[in-house]
Amino acid sequence: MSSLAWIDFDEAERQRAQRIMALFQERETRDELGLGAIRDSIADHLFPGTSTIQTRLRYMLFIPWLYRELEKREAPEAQLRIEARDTEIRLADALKAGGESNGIIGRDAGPRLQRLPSSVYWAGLGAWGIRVFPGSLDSLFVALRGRGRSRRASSGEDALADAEALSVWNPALPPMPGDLLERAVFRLTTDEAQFLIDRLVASQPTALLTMLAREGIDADCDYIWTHPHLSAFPSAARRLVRHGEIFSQVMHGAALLYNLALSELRQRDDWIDEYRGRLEAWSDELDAGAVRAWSLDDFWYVVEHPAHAVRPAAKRFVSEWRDLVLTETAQLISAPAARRLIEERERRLKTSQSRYANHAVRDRWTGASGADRLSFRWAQAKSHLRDLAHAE
Amino acid sequence: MLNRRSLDPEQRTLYGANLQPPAGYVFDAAVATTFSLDFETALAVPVSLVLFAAENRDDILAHPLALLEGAERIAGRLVIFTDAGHIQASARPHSRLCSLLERIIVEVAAPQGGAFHPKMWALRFTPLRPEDPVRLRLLILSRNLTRDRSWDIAATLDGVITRQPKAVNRPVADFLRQLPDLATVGVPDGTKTLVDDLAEDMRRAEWSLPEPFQSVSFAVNGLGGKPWRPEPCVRLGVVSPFCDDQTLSMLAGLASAEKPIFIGRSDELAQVPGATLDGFARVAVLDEMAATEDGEEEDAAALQGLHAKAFIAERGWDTEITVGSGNATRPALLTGSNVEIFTTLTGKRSRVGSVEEILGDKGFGRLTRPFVRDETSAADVAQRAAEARLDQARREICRSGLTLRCERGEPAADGSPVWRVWLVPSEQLPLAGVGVLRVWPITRGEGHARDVLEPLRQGQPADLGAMPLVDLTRFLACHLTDETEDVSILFSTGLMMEGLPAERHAAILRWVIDSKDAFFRYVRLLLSELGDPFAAALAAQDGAGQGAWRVASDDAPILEEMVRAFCRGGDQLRAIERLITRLETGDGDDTDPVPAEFRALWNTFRIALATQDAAHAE
Repeated sequence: MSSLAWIDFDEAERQRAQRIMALFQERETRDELGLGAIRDSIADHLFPGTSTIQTRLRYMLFIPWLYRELEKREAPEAQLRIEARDTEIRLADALKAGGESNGIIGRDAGPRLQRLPSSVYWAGLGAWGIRVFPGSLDSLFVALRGRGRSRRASSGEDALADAEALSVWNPALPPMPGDLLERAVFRLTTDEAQFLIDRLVASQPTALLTMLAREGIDADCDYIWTHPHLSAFPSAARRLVRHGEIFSQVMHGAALLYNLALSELRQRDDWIDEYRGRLEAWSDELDAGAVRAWSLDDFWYVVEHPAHAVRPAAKRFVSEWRDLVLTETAQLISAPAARRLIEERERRLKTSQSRYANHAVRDRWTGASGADRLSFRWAQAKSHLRDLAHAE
Repeated sequence: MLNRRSLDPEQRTLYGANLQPPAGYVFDAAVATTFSLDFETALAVPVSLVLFAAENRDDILAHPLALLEGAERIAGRLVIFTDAGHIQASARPHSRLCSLLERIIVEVAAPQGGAFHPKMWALRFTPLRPEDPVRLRLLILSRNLTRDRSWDIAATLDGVITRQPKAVNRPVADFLRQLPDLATVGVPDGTKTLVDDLAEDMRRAEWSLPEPFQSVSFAVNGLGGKPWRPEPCVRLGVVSPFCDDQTLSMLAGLASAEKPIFIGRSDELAQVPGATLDGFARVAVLDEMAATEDGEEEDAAALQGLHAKAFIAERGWDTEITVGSGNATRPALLTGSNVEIFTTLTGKRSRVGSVEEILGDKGFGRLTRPFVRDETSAADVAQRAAEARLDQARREICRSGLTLRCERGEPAADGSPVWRVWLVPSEQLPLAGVGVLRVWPITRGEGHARDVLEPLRQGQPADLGAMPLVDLTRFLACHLTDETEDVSILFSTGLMMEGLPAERHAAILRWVIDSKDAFFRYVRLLLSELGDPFAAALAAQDGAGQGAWRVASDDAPILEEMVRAFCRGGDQLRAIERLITRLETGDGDDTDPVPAEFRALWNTFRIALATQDAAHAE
């Protein structure tokens, strides 16, 4: 396939690029202090397979259904790719026809849609064991072609090998609704919900997400640590949630101070007042005893995740900030050491695009950067759990 | 394509997928060029070529068996030319598998003294069915063979070989043919033949063009002749991370209808006089929100942000898009001191898009912001001077005939054999301005660094220490620190090694295949049918977190697969034979990964294979 396009090394990087573009307008929520690897490690432990650009849970079934239909077709690879694309675009129309409005991927893009649901959910489908084929979407198309060939060339003795090569999706996948591409809804059937729960139990037995999915609770809380059933969580999950809570709380102060420093550089009194107020509230709420008792060694051990490399510089930053929080407590807002730590960290990460160093970048700053507490993709997990709880 | 604008940021392709053979084909040969390279990426690439495309590079790197077999299968059929001194090294030890790249990576230098900068892949695939034609692929990119996460563009052309040489392909064929002559330390056996054959095929290539383009042309700078540069046109748009005053002035004067558009990088633009920038209708930089992800903390060695180079010209009814390696700089476009490669795709403006549509707010431009004069201070002069000094020292190290010598040393305390390695200069090296020069074999890591500045300045051999056979490598990591400024560079370069024991390769093999389980997984990988990425991916799984797969694969008896392979002609079995023979050449004091029962079974196959070979010989 000849092409002229932007290039990513692999599927993981393509998804990163897609996340960048999807969240491009959401400047205010971005963490600029390089805590992403730690944040994502915690999120992947608690809520594996979720991602910030997923919308509704039933896509975890839409994708395998549509692709399983395609896999039955004997068509050249290029044509399969085109059909796959068309099918996914038609799905958006079917969801509109089904009366859905919230969470349709490509609702407004129509045939110009580039970020297909299959790429948004591909990694999650693998993490949940719904997809058993171990490669990228691209290599699936290649493999399908190869399979078609060997199927024509095969004889009875190869039936076993064929059965093996056909397993792209988990065999227990519930049946696809017949009119899926005419009218589709996000509401799950109870069988579908059970299938998803079974997959989670099989593939992510220790994840908190799995336990919450089995319980079938639709809990409306802003943070996982304010969950009404927190005390009933398994001990390992409770330990991780507790670490996440303290980390989120301690580092929230760093983000607020960064925002305050930028507000001062921009000489915006209204913003300065806001961040001063928020910092005071933060320091009032801070449980100094818990921060003092917080074992960073245990934290690094617990959050370690094979998919994320937390760099030594990030660990240093967190630990130095924690020490400052404990020593400076009340004077943290005016402590030069705290200001310096934040500035050095941001400059090192953003180099020529640092808001301290580059006034054009600073002038485009809209008054907030990651000023909300980290919540470790609880919002996405909560939405999926809600979809599960409302199956019928 | 669905939208009328080329280069929309949502139009994306995958490096790994671009290297994968088309369905029904297998990899046959390839030549790649890059300015810089990192070992892990170079190790992962053969896996994409001959085995399977994983979801991400780390998945591949977590499968040493797949890396080993990728490198084994590719041996003699892939060569990667890279700018001498721009192989990236890290302080931690690199995998011993990197030594397998000694036969693949060739360091070269640009003949006119600049950078060897082209990023290209020329690939040949052979069909599984004899009635199908051989296929070619050519990639011309801005991305190096590194773990960069930058915004890069790739042009991918698929083609077939025709009878007639085509004038349009001449620059590519000539470029390929000249590559082996640019090597700084000689080339592996067979390189010249591989490159010449591929060059000949490329000359006869008939390309199928990506929609909606109607014609293609190629250009190579820095190997003689007049360097390619954009021609006068009606409208012009340029994307180039690096730039300089003189080249921007040239570009500003090319477009007749209105001033051109320029998208670059702020630290580079900061060094260009305002009067020059006034020659452009719009000067923009990538919005920092598009350079990194929320909360991302980049590897210091990896590039991020804008790295693509594109020249978009409107002429008559057409739009021409030129992409490749060359920036808007003197060495790339004006003096020809850099080696660069470009491809130009031309099509109707109504279908390709206008400069404004491609680079404006509806296209890639939506990810940019206006550049503001003096928004950032230009880099420190003293620091730039230090970087230039270190770059000069880098050239000396890579091009002055340094060699490695290896000799058997006194056995270690536990009686295991060790080899002592010496770094031998052929002359005194000035290394002006260098404060510290530390080197270590890449397999050993920085903990084994030796300071070699004085011996090299005096032209004396330097002792790099004693090490086990499996650690011997031609790749040396070099860490240079400036005398006065706090500036340092770290890179790796491959040197000739005298006295490298023949059994080192087998030692690496045995280091990877360290258990019966690993041995059986490797055999399964060898049995996976050529051109079946699926089976290979399955075989390479090591069971961690891939539950659904393991069940399926463990149940398939290996004997049946071997018999099936025998009936198909036994190619995979010959690969197993190669493996068993190699594993036998180990020092014998460690545990044999091949189970005795398998050896007994294998003897039966050996006899059958010999009979088959004899029958073929008649």
